[in-house]
Amino acid sequence: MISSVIFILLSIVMLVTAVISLYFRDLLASVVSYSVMSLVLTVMFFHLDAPDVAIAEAGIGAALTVCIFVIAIKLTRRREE
Amino acid sequence: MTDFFLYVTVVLLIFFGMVALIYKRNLIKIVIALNIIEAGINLLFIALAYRPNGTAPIFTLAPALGELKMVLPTPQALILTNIVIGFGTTALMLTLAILTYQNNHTLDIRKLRGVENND
Amino acid sequence: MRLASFLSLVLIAAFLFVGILRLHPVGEPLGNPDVFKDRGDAITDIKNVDTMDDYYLRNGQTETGSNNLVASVVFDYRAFDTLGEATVLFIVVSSISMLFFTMIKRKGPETSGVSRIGEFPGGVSRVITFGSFLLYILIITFGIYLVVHGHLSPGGGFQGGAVMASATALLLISSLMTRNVQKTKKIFSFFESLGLTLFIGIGFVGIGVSFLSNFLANGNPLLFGKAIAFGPNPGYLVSAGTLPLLSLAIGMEVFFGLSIILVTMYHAAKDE
Repeated sequence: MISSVIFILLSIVMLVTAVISLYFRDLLASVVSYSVMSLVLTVMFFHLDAPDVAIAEAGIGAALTVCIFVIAIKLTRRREE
Repeated sequence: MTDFFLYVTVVLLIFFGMVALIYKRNLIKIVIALNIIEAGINLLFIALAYRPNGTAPIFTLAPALGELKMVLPTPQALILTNIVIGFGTTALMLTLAILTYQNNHTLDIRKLRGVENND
Repeated sequence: MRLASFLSLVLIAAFLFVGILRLHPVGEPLGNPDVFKDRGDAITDIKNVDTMDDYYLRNGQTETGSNNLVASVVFDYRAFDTLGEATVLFIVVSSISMLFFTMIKRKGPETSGVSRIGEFPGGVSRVITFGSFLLYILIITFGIYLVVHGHLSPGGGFQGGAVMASATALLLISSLMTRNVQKTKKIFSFFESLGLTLFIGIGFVGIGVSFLSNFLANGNPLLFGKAIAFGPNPGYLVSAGTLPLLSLAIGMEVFFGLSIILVTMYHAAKDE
């Protein structure tokens, strides 16, 4: 029962951050929002009894992906026209 | 059917990604949308392997065999490799987007295609 | 055009919702829930086994000697799949280096920047550089722990490599790794190739049975050959045969490959 409540809350946060990251015109803000979604996904993997996947997602989804996105935004432009 | 909303979350994530893929024009935004679809698919596989009140598929310091319930290991192994490969493909897509911008000075896919006013 | 995209969206949504209605409910995966019942001491025991996952759960620990069943699937039962993934990563790293080649060449040789330990580069606060250096040591230690204990606790080559690559990102953003980027990339790419070659080489050593067979597990007294009885245990480091070696090779490949991606993109984005 408690785990269901946790899953519902995490799902709502994930959906909200996904919509925000697709909605924003500022690409940097949307990348940061994607990082938050990835972090919440990590917590969800951990509660779904997948610690291996959670470690990989925490390292790659929340840290490295944001790094290369920021580099790509620096090399192109920040606003979506 | 208690945790059915996990599947609903998966479907909504994939659907939002698809909407952005169809309606957004910026290449970097399209890469973000593909990443969100990938997150939805990862969550689908892990949710398929889930057993309530189970443990992770690791025998080190696990509970005694009588009440031992484990989640399925194979989907976790598949998703584990998929995350690392997903990072590689994301980096490749971003590289191509950067080179496109250097050559054409735009990231708008409709301008790249030469379409003036699309309807 | 607008109508076509809207209709395709509706179609996608309909397919997705029909698809999840036909899946089995969350929490009741396919397979036998009583898979651990009546498990003897035999190496392979296919009683109570309905699906492939049941086979892995019931026999994975005794057949491969690894407590972590995810690692046993990744590096033993499906090691050939992992070889394919490692090759994909290798090709991705090569293509990124190739695509950025002209862009980096146009910038000219790298001259500025100081990277010796104890001598901090200008422009970045000393607190940031020193704190990053301390954190770097901790993160690398944690990543090596994850790689080495991949068969006992959550971890393995992929996770440890990813964690260590985030340490490289930390070094880059604190400008501790700014001198001689070309030389750094050469060293990194040597070790990345070495990781993939080690993986394939260990696969060929066991070719008497089959490619990538676990020839060291269960019986070899010298190297990682401790036989594991079925059931929970505190974990023994010298078990699991070739699995820790393959995990080490994949860890090297992932760490240096992801680091090359980061260093290349950072070098291309740096303005002189």
